[in-house]
Amino acid sequence: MNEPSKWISPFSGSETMKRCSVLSPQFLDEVEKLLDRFYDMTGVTIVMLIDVSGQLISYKGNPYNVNLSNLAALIAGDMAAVNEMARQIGEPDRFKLLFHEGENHIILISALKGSFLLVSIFKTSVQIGLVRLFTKETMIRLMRIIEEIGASDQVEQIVDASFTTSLADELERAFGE
Amino acid sequence: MFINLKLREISLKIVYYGPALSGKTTNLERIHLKIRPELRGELISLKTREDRTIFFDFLQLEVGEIKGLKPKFNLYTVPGQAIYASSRKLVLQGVDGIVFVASSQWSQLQENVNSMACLREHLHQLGINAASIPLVIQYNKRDLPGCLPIPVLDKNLCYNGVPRIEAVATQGIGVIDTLKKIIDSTMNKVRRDIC
Repeated sequence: MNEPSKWISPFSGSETMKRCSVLSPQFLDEVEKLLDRFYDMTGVTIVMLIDVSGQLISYKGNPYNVNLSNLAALIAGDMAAVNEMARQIGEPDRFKLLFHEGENHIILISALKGSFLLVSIFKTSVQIGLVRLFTKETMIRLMRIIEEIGASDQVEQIVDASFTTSLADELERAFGE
Repeated sequence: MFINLKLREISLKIVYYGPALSGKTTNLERIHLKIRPELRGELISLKTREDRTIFFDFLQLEVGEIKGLKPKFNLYTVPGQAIYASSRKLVLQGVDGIVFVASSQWSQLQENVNSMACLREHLHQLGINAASIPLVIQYNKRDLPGCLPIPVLDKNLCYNGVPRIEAVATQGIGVIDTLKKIIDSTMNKVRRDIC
């Protein structure tokens, strides 16, 4: 990387400074394995890892064919709002866990290192203690992966002049002009 | 910006910022209407009973694959009303590019100026240098009789040669041009930073 100071990954830098995150296949493979295990062991309907800005990183399960990008944006907004509430009332640290219980489903949101959110959505018949136990375990493993693997630095090979030119052409096509 | 090398996706977050009733939600509605249906997600709006944005609107767009990567654009609006200042800041987290939607009405000039100051303050609080973030200013509601002359808007809002586009969002005029401009500015910024 030519100017590493400008391209701080979500894994190593200040959350407010990160501008570009390149998630490597190796990192995503490891995350996928963890989410698979979480899904198999707990019986949740959906488990997903998202970034605090609302970007979906990886998920397992989606039987209702929910638009997970929309869901990720809403969940990130939810957590951001609660953290602002914490700040307003003088809570010294961010809230780490959000829990929403409906008639049929429960949503559990756990914050990881102020950068990621692990989200599980499950039926009320699923044992919540088990979900919380695996949430805790998965968070520890995720932190390890984040520290060990980190981010890729292939941005300069991807976003070159021809990429931006082609993007302009694709936008023309998208709007039928 | 997020690049997922496994899914071969590149995602940008664009936020439509501006004072109340300047037309931010209308921009997203027109984009949703104009883009080919297979390339858009659902337009999510968190509104009050009076149909005013309470937190944000969200729309995800994607275009065809480029160099094996699928570009995705996550478009957000912020609530313009003064009481939702805290919410506006939250939506700016992780932003890659900003469209400032200004109203061209004389009565809204001070609101525009206040909102621009608020944007700068929010970026500062988030640790983002306002001068470094790609910005496009949209002068909306150009169809209203007796609207503000462009030089007046420029003098009050348009600093350092920031690109600005005239629009009538309710008719779709200038909406897609604004979107294309901010995407272009954002991608150019990405390239400048890595070269």
